[in-house]
Amino acid sequence: MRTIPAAAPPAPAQGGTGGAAAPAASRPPETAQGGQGWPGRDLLTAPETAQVLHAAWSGDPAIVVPSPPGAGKTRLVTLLAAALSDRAGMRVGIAAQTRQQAIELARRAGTLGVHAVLIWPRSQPRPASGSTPPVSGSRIRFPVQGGGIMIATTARWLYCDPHSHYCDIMLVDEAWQATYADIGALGAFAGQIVCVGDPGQIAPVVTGAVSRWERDPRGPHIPAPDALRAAHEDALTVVPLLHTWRLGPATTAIVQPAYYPHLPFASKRPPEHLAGPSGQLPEIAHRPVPAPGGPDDPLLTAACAARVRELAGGHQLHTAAGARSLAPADIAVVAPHVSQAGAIRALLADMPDVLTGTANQMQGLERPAVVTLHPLAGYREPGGFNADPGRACVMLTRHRAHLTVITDPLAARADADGTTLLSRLLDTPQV
Amino acid sequence: MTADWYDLAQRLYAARSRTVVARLSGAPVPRLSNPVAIRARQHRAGITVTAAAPGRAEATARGTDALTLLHDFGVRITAGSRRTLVAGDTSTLPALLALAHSAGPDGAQADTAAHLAWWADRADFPGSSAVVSLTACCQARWITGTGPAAENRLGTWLAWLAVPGTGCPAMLALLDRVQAGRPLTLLEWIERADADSWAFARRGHDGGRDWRQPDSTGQAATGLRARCDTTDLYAAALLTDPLFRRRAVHTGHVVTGIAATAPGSKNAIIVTCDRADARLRAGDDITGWAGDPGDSPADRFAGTVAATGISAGTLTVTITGTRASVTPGGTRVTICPAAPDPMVQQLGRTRLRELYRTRTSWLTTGRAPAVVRRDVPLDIVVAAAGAGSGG
Repeated sequence: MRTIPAAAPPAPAQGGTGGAAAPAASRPPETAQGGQGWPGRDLLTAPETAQVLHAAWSGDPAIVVPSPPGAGKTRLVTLLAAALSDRAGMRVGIAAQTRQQAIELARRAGTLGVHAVLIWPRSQPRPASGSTPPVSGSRIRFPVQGGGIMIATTARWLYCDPHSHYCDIMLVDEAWQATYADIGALGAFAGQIVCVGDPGQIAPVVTGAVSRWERDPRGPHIPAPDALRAAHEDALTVVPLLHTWRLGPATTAIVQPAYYPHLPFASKRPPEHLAGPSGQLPEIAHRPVPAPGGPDDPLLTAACAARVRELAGGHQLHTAAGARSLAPADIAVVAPHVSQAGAIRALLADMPDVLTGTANQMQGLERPAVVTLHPLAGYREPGGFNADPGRACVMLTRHRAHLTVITDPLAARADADGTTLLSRLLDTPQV
Repeated sequence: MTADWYDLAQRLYAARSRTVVARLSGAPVPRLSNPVAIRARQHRAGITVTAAAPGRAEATARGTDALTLLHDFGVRITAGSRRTLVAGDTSTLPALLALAHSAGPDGAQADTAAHLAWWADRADFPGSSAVVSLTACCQARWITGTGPAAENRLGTWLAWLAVPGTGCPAMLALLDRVQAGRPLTLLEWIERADADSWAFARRGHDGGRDWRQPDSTGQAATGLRARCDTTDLYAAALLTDPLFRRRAVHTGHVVTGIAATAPGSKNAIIVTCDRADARLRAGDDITGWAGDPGDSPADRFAGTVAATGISAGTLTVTITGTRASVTPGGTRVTICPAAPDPMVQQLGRTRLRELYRTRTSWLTTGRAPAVVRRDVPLDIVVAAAGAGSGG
């Protein structure tokens, strides 16, 4: 395995500590035509993204790009595809894990002025893919000459013809949500593969039993990049992304060691915070709510809804662009269970713009302010679904400016060894 | 109400009435024609196997004699028909697999070992006719008035269902109770997959394939896909049962509400749901009918969830692709996820198998990849080296 040595993560941005937001570096731009001459040129503004482009262009067979939350994975995939298709003249396939992700990749590719198509079922309503056309049947093809991009979900790729739709390279977005079985099948479409994803989040959804391969690090159910590393370590090039543009320094300090011990990343988020009647809110805080009735205790869901109303009522969002009132559309609520999310949605029925859902539904999304119901709230013993680290990681990494975690002091007793994340959250300010 | 409260209510009722409460009206396994009840234990001295079958008395043997015993019970890959393993605990199958590993590569014992290995493989397929876990099937079909942990023990079920006898004969008697009645719809597809798998295993044995060899990447991928397909099919089979659907209302897998015609569309309806915890998402295919979850009408409608939303504090689900005339405004409806199409599942597995047969790919074959280099422009080389071009 070749791990491209990256420069040390830069010092964290001074986010969340000052009063009014100061101008600072913003998320890397994604400009049409890359600013000068060829789409994807923006990849050269950071060494690690340039290294990904270099490795792909030069022919490395398997490239893995582990990324923290909010590092610009989708941006990287679209710029890389644009650069390889337009400047290198390569046929590029992109495999997304959900239809929504495929649509978003197609929409972004469309802004870069490259030849791209979205493989889409004719029976489905036309997606909002911008200037990238949805195609089906005989229109699924690369240009006769030059490069091009074909985008589809992994599931849809498996119904394509590997001979007539052969690519020079396959880019897999959210690759840690794909299984090794998925990637192996995609291998029939390209001799080179690039896996971009977040190693800390929810593992692939596998409904079947996997006991047959439970001790096999190359098992078909294993997240694709991890199994690739086990099976083809010598052929692997690893280029980690080192910065999060979403999480501030306080959240990064908690999340990085807990969920990304092998991915030392730093915050590059511009200063951003919430301020209320009593001053600036901490970037991450907790609110204890005893839940004697277990995870379905109405006290928990009521506390989430109440916190949303507090935030929406008279708090200001301070960013580099200035200050404005926090709107319901700026807030998300993340709950562990569907039933809890449904209850919170009902309690906030008069605020339909508040985004409410489970961790699975919230993957890939972000909001300035988030209220999270801790996955162990109501439970007396951690284990199974409620202790899944990937799920907890998603729940704690959806916010930019502020996160309130609703915790259950009764659940904390089950977590008394002080080594788990819940204990660290209790060290955050109480709101 | 949550599913936990629903279960607790049933459990309390069972405790008060001192009888099991049904969770399914149908049988969670197909009707089995060739069962053999087995209890296997690993000791320092070896593996002890006790077996019984309809018309055959219980017998016990140890070590290689155990393989001979099983062979006599028809547990051999070369037999004309496959046997169904009926197990009452979780330690029997691992012990049988260990026994299979102790067999030689040829002869009668190898035939038996290959059948045991086939059982170990099919145990991952819920609703299978290859391996029946009695405690799991009982838990699917009934609930007792004891704690949930006690339901993992065979003795609990023998006592609550008043099954006479002990040992393997009692297991066979319990199996009769479990498979009484009509099997759940869709289980016939799982049984068909069992038959295909059995035929494949037989051909492999005849061709000299060693079941001890680890799976190739392609075998593992298709094996995983088959497991997931069967699990999804079994989940759909459970939803065909009216008693199961009543509980599934409390997990969000079954949705009830009032249908209304979608404004400006003859092919869409909007369902105002009774609860807000539905698991339906945009893009999901559904099946539905006028009536309650406990109803099982033949006249159903199908469609696709176009959108979900909260309106006036109530969850609404917009369904397209269904004629609004099927559900006049104000009709009370029940909606479930549409069952997966077994033929489509089969097609998917075939496609996956074909892709893994692409011998040119290093990923499908598992070979080390051959590197083909391209020249990289200098500006990219420089930027990747860390200097950066500054855009």
